[in-house]
Amino acid sequence: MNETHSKTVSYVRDTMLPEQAPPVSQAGAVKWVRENLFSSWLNILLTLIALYVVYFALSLVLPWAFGGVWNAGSLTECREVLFSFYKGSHDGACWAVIEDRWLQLLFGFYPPELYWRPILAFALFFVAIAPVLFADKVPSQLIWFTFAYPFLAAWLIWGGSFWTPILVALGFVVAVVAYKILAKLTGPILANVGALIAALLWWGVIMGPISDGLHKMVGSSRFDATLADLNQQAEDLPVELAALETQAEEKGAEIGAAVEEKNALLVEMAEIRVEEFVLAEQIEPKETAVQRLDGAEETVAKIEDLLGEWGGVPSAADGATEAEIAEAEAASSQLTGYIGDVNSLLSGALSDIADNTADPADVAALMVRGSMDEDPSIRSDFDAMVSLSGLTDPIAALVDQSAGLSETTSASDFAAIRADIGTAAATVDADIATLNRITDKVIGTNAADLEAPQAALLAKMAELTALRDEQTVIAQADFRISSLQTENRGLLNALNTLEAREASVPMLQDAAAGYRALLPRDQRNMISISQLPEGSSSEEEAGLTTYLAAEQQAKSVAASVRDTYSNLGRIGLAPIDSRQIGGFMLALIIGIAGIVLSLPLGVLLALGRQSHLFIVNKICVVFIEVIRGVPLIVWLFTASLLLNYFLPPGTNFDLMLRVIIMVTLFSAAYIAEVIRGGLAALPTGQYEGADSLGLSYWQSMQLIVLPQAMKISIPGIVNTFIGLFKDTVLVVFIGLLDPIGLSQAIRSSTDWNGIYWELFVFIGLLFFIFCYSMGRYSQHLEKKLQREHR
Amino acid sequence: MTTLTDPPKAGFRLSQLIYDTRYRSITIQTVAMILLVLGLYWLVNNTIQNLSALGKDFDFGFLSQPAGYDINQRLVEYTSQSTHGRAAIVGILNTMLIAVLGCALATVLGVVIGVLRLSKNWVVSRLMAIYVEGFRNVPLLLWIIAIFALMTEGTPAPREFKVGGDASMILNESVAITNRGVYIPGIVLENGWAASAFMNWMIIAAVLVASLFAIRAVRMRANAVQEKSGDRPTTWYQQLALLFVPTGIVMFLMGATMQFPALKGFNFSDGIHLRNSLIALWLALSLYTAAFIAEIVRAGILAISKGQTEAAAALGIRPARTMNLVILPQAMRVIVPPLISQYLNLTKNSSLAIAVGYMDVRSTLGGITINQTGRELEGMLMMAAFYLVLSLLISGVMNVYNNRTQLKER
Repeated sequence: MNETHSKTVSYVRDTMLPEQAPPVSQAGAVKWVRENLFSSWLNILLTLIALYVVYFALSLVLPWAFGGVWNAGSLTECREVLFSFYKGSHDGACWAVIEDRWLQLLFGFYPPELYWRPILAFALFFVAIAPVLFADKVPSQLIWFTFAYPFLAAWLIWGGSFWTPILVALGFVVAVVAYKILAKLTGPILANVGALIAALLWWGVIMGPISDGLHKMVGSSRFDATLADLNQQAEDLPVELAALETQAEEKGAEIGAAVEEKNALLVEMAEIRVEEFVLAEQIEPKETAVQRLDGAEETVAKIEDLLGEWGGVPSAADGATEAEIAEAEAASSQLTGYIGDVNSLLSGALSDIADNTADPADVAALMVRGSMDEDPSIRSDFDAMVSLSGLTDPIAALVDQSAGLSETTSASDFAAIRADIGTAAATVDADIATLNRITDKVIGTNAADLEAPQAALLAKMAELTALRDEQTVIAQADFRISSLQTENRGLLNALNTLEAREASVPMLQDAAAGYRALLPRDQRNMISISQLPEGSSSEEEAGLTTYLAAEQQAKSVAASVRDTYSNLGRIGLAPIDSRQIGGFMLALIIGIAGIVLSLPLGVLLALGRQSHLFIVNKICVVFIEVIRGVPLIVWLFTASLLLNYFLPPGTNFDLMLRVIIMVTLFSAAYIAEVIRGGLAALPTGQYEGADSLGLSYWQSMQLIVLPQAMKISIPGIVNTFIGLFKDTVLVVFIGLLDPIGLSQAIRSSTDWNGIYWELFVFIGLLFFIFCYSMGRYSQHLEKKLQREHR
Repeated sequence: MTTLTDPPKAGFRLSQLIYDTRYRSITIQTVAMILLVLGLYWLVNNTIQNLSALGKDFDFGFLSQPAGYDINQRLVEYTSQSTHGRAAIVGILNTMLIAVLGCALATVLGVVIGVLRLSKNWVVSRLMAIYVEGFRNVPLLLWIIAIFALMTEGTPAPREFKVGGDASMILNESVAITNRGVYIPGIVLENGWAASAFMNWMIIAAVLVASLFAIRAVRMRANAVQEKSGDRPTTWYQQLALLFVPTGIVMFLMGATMQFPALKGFNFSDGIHLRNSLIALWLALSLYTAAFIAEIVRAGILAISKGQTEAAAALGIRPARTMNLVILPQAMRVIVPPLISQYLNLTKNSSLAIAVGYMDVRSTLGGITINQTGRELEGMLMMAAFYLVLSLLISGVMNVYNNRTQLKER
């Protein structure tokens, strides 16, 4: 320590002070709030507005969502339950519609007993995409499953014989084999063309007969067994059906009884509430009366304004122009009109009260459920109320007074009347306030009594829901068995006639060929009688008609034989019609198929658009721009309305398949543009480097260019996918039952007529979950693939 | 003397078409061309066959036949006696109307939300993030239907607006929101110069455009003066006057008066009736597209490096001018191309009008006209051509803008 200082300074600190905690305003949550939420006036304002918006939204949504009803069979029952709790003061969600219909919203009209098939397909989807999305975490052999998955999924969802997907998949094998062989002989270009032709030949010409042959083989071998089985079932099924019908009847009786009990509970509650209803009946007309009195007061004010404006009765001065006279007349008639309004409003108010309400003493006499005994203050409230005549007399006086009103009444009289009306309205208002107070008290005394029936009602609703679920199961079983019965009858019939039909096919074909030979050469390829040139003779028409009919018959009989065999010889899953597929499952099928198919097509289009080959480039440009320039909905209508024009006469294929094709083409064009951006963003050095290594075009694309370009384009590609997935709901406009279409169907049923928000919330949440997770995954992928140092 | 590098002089062999890179591209293109022509021939041939089998021809004559249906929302005169062609034009104008309205509102909302999402205020930026994610991840169609349901189910009927009813008009008794639509005050030209109201409004619009050009001239002169003397003359009052005075005079001369909606019987009359279909479509399109625009604006602002702001500050430029002169011009280059592509999307999405019954071109030409005349092929072709031309026009404008604002590098 310094000596000098010890003399001049009385005290010198020789140790460090311990570090103090920062001030409260500069640390922790307070600092964060100050800096982030309240740093400036603008910020404070923004924070307050934002908090208010959040509060407002939550105060609307939360009570609605959490005060909802989960057990009810219809919107009416929902309202009954809500009313029994809140007496109409609270609007709760009717989630019962979701409870009732969620399977339909997910699966459409897919047979319930077969739900396991789409569910399994959906679960396997995650196994199939694992090697693509998480290539570093799963064994690489799994990629073979990914290749097999589309065929497996299609088979699971649509059903049919197990060899159909295998035969389709074999087409790709055929293409690969053809390419391998031809590549050695002729080089890659011709090999590509050859592979394409081979695959098309396989699918178009060879596959069908093989499948038919297999069906025929299996079918013939089990013909007798199936026939016996069908006959046996024809005896068994009616018994089962009868049993189910008895069950359904019993269940219906049970439900009927439960509904009765529920209604009894509702009546019980209404009886408990009878005093509340009595009071409500008093309040309602009085409120109307107050509104009318207010209206009358306003009108009188208007009269005063008018009189003030004209300085008395509106009249034109001597020598006034025509316009001025007209103006004065208009004002005068307006005045008359106002006076009439006041008259009618006042007498309306009088009759509201005099005709529709009762004296407080009489009302008190109606309080029969003893709330007055429980809460004596109610009686004193009634005693304090103005009697009925006390309410009506001033108004009646006003009515009389207003009858004497005329244009010439002085402004001060009007002012007096206005004041009187105001007083009368205030009296009625006070009366209403008292009644409301009494109502609140009555509700308070009733609350305890209502608890038991309310709980009982909830239990009864749960019981009813369970009963109805059981009823649905029975109805579904009934439907399944009766449709099985119809199907069996049809098959039995078909089997009995199979031999005859099969034998007749060659004869019919010969006959058609014979008719065809009779036609003039230029008419032999016609497909409709309207193609005949104008002025053709009736013989010509008759000849063509005969030929067309014969041809048609030969074809339809051959098709029916094929049909029978494919029913008889099917080894696999029960076939499902595309029309039965709907709901969110439809959106998923279209979305996933579109996504998977559009990516490779988009890559090809992007490469074509970047290509130096003039014609290829222009074809791709035109294709991309035309597709992108027109809304998807127009393309969907094209698919449903116009595709039949563009395809060979007589072709008619599945609407869902058409939609998938259109959606694929549509999003491929968008993906092509995204990838083109990625390609353009690559430095030219990458292309030149690949060339200088001597790589061929496809090698350089595959190894050097595309991996980098795709990485750059990931956000854009995923955005396109999200857009595609959301756009699948547009199929509702061409008659497919997507979730929105189903929500309309549900709304048009009598049970759920008028229900909106619950369905919208459910559908919106489903889409949100899928789209949001896709977006999140793309962000994750971007981060994982990031190679730049930032 | 021959060297090793000389190409072989042998004549042209057929296999060169495949193996020689000089000829291969020709081969590939020829094959592509042949395939394309074959494919087109196949499609056209099928179409001809199918049309003749149905006894139809390819003819646009239906456009001049009377349409026979009413369109409740129209910008030009139209009655059910008008032709299908006229109906198509009404539809096209309706599509344009919703597109312009939607683009305007979406831009305003999108810019505000995009800027707010960048705010340091945690509550505000979270709220905006929820908005953006919520709207982007739910199908537009659902929003349209939901807003339409809100408009028709959640608003009072016109009769509720009577004296003593439950509902009342807002904004000083000038706007009524009812379940039949929104009624707002309108301007009526009592003695217009042209025969139809539409033409009168066109005259006013022309005057307005002329004033805008005049304002531009004033600005350019101010710029020139500034270039020369360094001082910028004050012109804002001239600009304001030019903007309002000529239009105001013309409207006054035409006898423009405000007309307020008033309850007559069970419905409102006078004023302008905005139908629920228009409002629902407009709001849904704008709110949905605003979410995308917000992201574009955010990305555009984030794309400008902080160094730009700092450099501007180092030069002593005030913050407001930094935004105007340094940040925005650069951010605009990033923002405008995707913004215009969003406008394009909005225009195409307006075809979802079918969900709420708004009479756009898809509902008139592509809907009722096709159903009534059975001319699917012609109708769909015309509609596709309309959308295509619109898209190409807008993307053409975008390309011009891109070329003008592109960084001239390398």
